[in-house]
Amino acid sequence: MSSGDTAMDATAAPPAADAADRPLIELVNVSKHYRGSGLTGQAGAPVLAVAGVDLAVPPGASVGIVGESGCGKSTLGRVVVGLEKPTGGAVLLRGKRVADMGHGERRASRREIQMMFQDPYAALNPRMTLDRIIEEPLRARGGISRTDRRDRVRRLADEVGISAAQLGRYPRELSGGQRQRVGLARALATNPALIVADEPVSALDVSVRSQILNLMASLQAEHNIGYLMISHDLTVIHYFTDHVVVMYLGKFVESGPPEELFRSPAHHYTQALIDAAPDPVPGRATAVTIRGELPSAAAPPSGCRFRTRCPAAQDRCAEEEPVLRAFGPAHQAACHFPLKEAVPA
Amino acid sequence: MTDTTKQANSGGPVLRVSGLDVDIKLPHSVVHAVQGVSLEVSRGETVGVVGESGCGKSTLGLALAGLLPPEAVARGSIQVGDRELVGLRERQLRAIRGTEVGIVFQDPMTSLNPTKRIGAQVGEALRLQRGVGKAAALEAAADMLDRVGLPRPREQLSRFPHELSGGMRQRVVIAAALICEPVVLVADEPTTALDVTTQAQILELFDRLSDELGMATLLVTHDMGVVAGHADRVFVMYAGREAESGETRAIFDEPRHRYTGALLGSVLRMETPRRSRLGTIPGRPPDLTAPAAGCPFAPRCEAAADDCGTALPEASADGGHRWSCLHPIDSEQPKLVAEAQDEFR
Repeated sequence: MSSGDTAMDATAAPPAADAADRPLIELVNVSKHYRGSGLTGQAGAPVLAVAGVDLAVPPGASVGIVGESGCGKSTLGRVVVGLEKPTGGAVLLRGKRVADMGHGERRASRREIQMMFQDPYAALNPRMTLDRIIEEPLRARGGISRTDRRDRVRRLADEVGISAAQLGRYPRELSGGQRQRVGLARALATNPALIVADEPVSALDVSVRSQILNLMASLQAEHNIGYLMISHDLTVIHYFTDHVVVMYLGKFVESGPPEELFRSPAHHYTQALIDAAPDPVPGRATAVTIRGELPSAAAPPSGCRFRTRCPAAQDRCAEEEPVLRAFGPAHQAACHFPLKEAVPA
Repeated sequence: MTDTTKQANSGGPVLRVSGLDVDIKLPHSVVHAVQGVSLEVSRGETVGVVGESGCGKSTLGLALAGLLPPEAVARGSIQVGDRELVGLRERQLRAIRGTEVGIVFQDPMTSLNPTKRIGAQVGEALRLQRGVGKAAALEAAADMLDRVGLPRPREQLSRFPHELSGGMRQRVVIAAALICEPVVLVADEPTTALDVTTQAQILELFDRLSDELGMATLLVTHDMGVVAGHADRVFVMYAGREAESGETRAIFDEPRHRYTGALLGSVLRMETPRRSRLGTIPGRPPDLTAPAAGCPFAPRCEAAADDCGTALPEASADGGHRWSCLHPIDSEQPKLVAEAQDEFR
């Protein structure tokens, strides 16, 4: 992924294309640094949470990001939704740089991208009734009459499976699944084109998890919503998304269609994640392919960042950083000694 | 290491729970959190306890760990080796915790004292319960930390919990739980807060220690994938009761109870067809303050008939496989869970 336009071969749009054909959101060489704080003993050393990534989400598509905690996937989600400003590179919404937008335009663009959190309880105001919670983004937007807002809240609630009788309740009176439904209704209130869903079902029981995933899928079909789904759970990502990105220490190490990526990965890190993922098949124990934990993002290893934990690392991996190469249509990986042959350039 | 633990009935079950009831008194009601539970776990055996939140699995774990809150009342019997736990005073329970029953919880930070050095915490039970001297306890702590895979164990003795990563902290908790070589280990969601790569390492550690130390392990988890790969037997709980229990393979391949079937039907697997409509369980687990007369799962069960609402179903058994369902899944019917395909491994 050397430039933004080739970020996703299958979906990249030519630079001159009409705004309507452009990816909904595009990240071009985006980085996000944090200044190391004195508390961690690394005063001054910048932590590179996201280190120059290219990503495009076409309208109505579902893109998944997987990786361990600390790999930068949540930071990336916050950059996409506008909660964090990138320290390098550009974020484009329908082909236009967000940084170049005026105040009003940026506000309007924010409404197009909404966020869904892992713990809806922490994300919902405990002092507000459900109808107020769902209505709030509409009030913030302004220009909609009270009656129309009420109407819209009822329709949104109905769509996510919250009954009119429940709308007068408070978040604490709901189960985790119902709270996630309210979070979804709130996210939908402004008719977003993209929902960034950070571990949306991780905190839920399996029975409820499948209800929420079914709901997210049907809302997508109905409204052509795109999802950027961030999760550590490979089965969820495999089931839900059309394109998967594997992140390691702020970089994309592999990306591709889920069937291919999970059946025949090129990167050793992807293989390690697959081996470690619990799969409910009796006798199929999770396997430990890599030891240890993520190194510090403040001092990433030289060359390939994964080499310190990689079973196939050689001298070259410490000296030279691997670049993303093609392994198939829309399938890329950055590895000097991949698990399969790269497509000749 | 000094092993004064009684090698009770080696071969037979070392944990015997029979007819266990746990009632939790609230200001105006009583929650019947565990009702009539009987189960046995032998040395070196791991039994996975599964079910949705609110099914009583954590309360069962707390009862076995002697950690029920003061407002809880337990009836029935919990035998660890030849010691009866039900009816013991807090002082007596404290002597059993950490020596005969080891405990590992989800969040290592709640089990560790943030102000105490790791060596002192891991060696604590040896000093308090076994009267081992300070130097010998530290020596044993270093051995145990090495055994649970903490790198440079001697250097870690003088560190504080916050200096370690989540995965390393959980290893410290496990070391502290196992330092007196307990007969029984209760692990309640021990890997839920960890990354999959770390989870795989911790599960591998449990498998190895269970073999080496021969403890009986009760693994409480909501994750069917973890149970499938790491439990010898599965105990499915619903509404505080045993719904079904048996060998892991039998539970996954030929579930008989409708609840087990519904639970397995809603679990995402790598083989789940992408974007297929997922199985769900409508409704929520019942209110345990006022248990209904019939099968507690009947209101959510697709196969419920009139007789399900009248009386609790008696347990049926086939060898070590036991289920309490009036209209069980016919093992001749097509399996709810498709045969495992190994293409992803």
